[in-house]
Amino acid sequence: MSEDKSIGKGENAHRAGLLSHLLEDTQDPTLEQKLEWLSVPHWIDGRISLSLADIPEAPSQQFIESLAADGLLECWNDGCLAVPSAVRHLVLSRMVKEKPNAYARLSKVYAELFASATSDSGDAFDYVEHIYHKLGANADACADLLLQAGVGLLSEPLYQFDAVERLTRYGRELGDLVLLPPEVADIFRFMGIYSRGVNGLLLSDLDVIEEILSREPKSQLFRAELFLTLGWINIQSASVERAGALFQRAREQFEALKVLRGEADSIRGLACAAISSGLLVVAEANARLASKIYHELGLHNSASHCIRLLAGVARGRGRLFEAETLFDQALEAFLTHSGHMSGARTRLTYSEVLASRGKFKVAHQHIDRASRAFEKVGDEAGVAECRKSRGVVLFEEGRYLEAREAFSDALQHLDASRSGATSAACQLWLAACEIRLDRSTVAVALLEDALTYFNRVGDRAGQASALRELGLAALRDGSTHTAIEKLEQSAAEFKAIGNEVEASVSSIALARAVITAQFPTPYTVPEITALANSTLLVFEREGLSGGIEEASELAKEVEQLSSSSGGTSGLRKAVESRSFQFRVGPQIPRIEVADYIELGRLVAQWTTEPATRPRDVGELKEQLDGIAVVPDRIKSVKFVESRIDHLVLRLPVKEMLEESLEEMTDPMGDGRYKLPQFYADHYRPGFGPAMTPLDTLLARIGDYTIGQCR
Amino acid sequence: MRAIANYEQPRKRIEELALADSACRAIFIEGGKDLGKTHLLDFVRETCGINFIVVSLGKQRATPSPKLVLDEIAQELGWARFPRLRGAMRGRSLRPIQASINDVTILGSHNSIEAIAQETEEDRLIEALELTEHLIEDLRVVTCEIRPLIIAFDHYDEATSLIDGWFSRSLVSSLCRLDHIRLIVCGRDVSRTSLKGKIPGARFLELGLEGVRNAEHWLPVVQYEGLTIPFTTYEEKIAFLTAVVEINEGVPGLIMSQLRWLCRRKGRHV
Repeated sequence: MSEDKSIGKGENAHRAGLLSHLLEDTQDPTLEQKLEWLSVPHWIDGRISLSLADIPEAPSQQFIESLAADGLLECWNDGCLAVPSAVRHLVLSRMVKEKPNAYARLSKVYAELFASATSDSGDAFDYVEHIYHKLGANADACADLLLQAGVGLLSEPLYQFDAVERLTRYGRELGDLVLLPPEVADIFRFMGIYSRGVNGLLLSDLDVIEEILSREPKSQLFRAELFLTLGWINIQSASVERAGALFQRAREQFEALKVLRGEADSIRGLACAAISSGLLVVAEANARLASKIYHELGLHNSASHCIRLLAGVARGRGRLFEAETLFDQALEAFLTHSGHMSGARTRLTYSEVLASRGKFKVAHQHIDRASRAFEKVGDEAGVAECRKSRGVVLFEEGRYLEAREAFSDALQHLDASRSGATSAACQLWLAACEIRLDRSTVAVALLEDALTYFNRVGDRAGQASALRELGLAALRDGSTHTAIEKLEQSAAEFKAIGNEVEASVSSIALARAVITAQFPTPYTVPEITALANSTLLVFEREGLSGGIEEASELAKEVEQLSSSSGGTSGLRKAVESRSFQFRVGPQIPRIEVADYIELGRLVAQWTTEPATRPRDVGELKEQLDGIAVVPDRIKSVKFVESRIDHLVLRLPVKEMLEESLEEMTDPMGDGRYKLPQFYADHYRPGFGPAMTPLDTLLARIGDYTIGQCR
Repeated sequence: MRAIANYEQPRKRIEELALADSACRAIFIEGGKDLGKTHLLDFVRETCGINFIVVSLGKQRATPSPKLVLDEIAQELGWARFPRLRGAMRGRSLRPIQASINDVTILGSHNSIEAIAQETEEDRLIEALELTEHLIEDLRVVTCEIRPLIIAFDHYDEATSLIDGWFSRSLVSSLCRLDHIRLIVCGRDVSRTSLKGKIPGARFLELGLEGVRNAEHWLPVVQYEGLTIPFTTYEEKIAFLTAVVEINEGVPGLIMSQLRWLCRRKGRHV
């Protein structure tokens, strides 16, 4: 699209004669020069036309008006005037060939006129026209200017894709008219790649960028941008180590040039590379540093990506409570800026965290919404990733058959060359399903494939997970000693990368293998008792009810073993005591709100347009789809409206109030009261999303209308 | 009344498209540069007394975006007919966005091109798809006096990739599902687009414009434009027109450029 077919080589011969006809037929000796003045820009508007009046040799306004009146200038819908493209092309071709200095001189004049127009208007299209003329005047000197313009227009906060699409078209036009310096031509090629964004990069882009780099661009800024983009492509192709090195080079160059945005982007890249390598401390430090710089630059959207990275770090460390909060925060930030696609991607990882915390319904809703977003834009890889996340949630629910179907489906639709990490994760999860469905043989083949991938890319969390599943498969097959060995490795690896939750999951499996193998194994009963105790502590801290249950069961089994062998571990007492103390959450399910702003918007609509109010709980659930989850305990709904002269005090449900009071005053509780995230965003606007006053109002309306003694 | 050189068949097809019982839902008009596509649309719109709006996707200082296109449709037909679209657009209020590039301040929201500067084109596509749903709901209930309604999109070849994605993912199929809406997509290489596959039941026509080579067909245009052919007899005038038409291979845009130049007062533009 958008390619102007009129500007190019190989025009029909008859068109070439048109200009000669026009010029030969005139009695005005200055006509050619005037036509040149009008043909150099793509358009002139009233402002440019007025500026031309100050230049003696430029065509007068009267001349321009008479040409327009005779239909010799096109008059566009928005009032701009333009020399018809066929004529313009002929004039410019002739000019560049016969009078290159005149072309450069007029380009310089227009570069200044459009610079002044941009200063007045702030308009991206005036600016693009300015850059075009700067290149026409002296392309050799404009490499950095062009690069800064392209990157600046494409980056936060402008994201002016349409303006850059036009600039790229102008690049082709210039390339046909004049010989562009190779570096400028390379910058135009690079802009085509850069404009697709980090998620739109292709493996084939790698060759293009390496080819450009092989020409050793003179511009240090260009080299830095190339290293940065190459880093992102390497992350996608799972060459994490190389990606890290490229991000580091980019960072150093941006730092030397004092380009803070580039520096922050490189540091963010380093954080991504570190996460993929399991270097979570490094990842966290880099994500925080990048976020700080973005924050200083006022680039809130980019900062939101850092929040998502931090959520990933927290998840990688098994700090699921923190991960949940951060994912929630990142999601809200993306949605505030209509970042639907980043929001969709966040929803997927968020849903997996929610599922591991037993919040299946909300997890499914997030996947539904993400899936709708990907389907709308035809992103098949995104839809396949949704299937993978769906599988994870189903797995956590214990619905292994359905989960297996979801993972198989995802694997079929994923492009392994672009989604290697997701494909390997699917293989891992699929194997986990097969093991639980007593098909260990199938599972082992899948796990070996996945492990090969994880080993190749240095994904330590993936390696540890695959080892655990291999251990479980061995256990099912009765190879208890192999199982113990794999599970020990898995637990150790998870501990090494600082993920205590996953290490605990592997430890529980290890304990089961030890029990199955029957003592004596390398482990004694007290050691297994201690292991159960420590895992219980970890699960408690993260509020993982499934884990607590498993650890408790394990404790009971070990206690039975020790009783039968005459020993006392004291484990039962500890488990019972902790089970009593620990609360997974309120016993009466509350309404889970995913999007307070949307909820507030809905409440405002119910208030102003009574006909839109849901008539029953079914309709309420329907309207709240994706916004909040209404628990099944709610069987009816009633709307009560205050009036100017009549105050309605809606009192809370007695049982829920009592429960919340008890929870908040419990000396053994976790000592936290979790306010909805938007309050933090409101009071600390730097780090989270920028909440407009309207957002805050709506979120508060949503909260106080539907809040139920949280 | 505006004049046109021939193009009788395409004109007829467009008029038939406007019939209430037309089986056809869309026409794709293709023609190379200067073949008179825009003029044909303008001519039919102005002379045939049918409900017809033309939205240009090119030839503008600022590239049209989906929001701007929807805005233009609603403005043409009157915003009062689009309460849902108006509500949805209002909800997407502009936020001030600006950044400095090479010491020049650029305002992201200056052109009102998008409601908000999203970080990817897909984000904008989703916004466009959501707004389209509101447009379609409003169009579904438009009053009888503007039914059937032809919506023509001109300069499709100049549209951005975002517009292209929007048309092929939603707009074309949604519009063609409404019984009283007809669609025209006009451009240089429309035949190569995937849009045709989006027309339910493949109820569409393809028209190719090839220029007007009969000199006599140009006489009404010369008259309408007030051009003076520098000859006196009818035969001489036709011979002159034949030469111009031949030189320009019947391409209307080129013929008109040359006629305007040759048939005006000498030395006027000084």
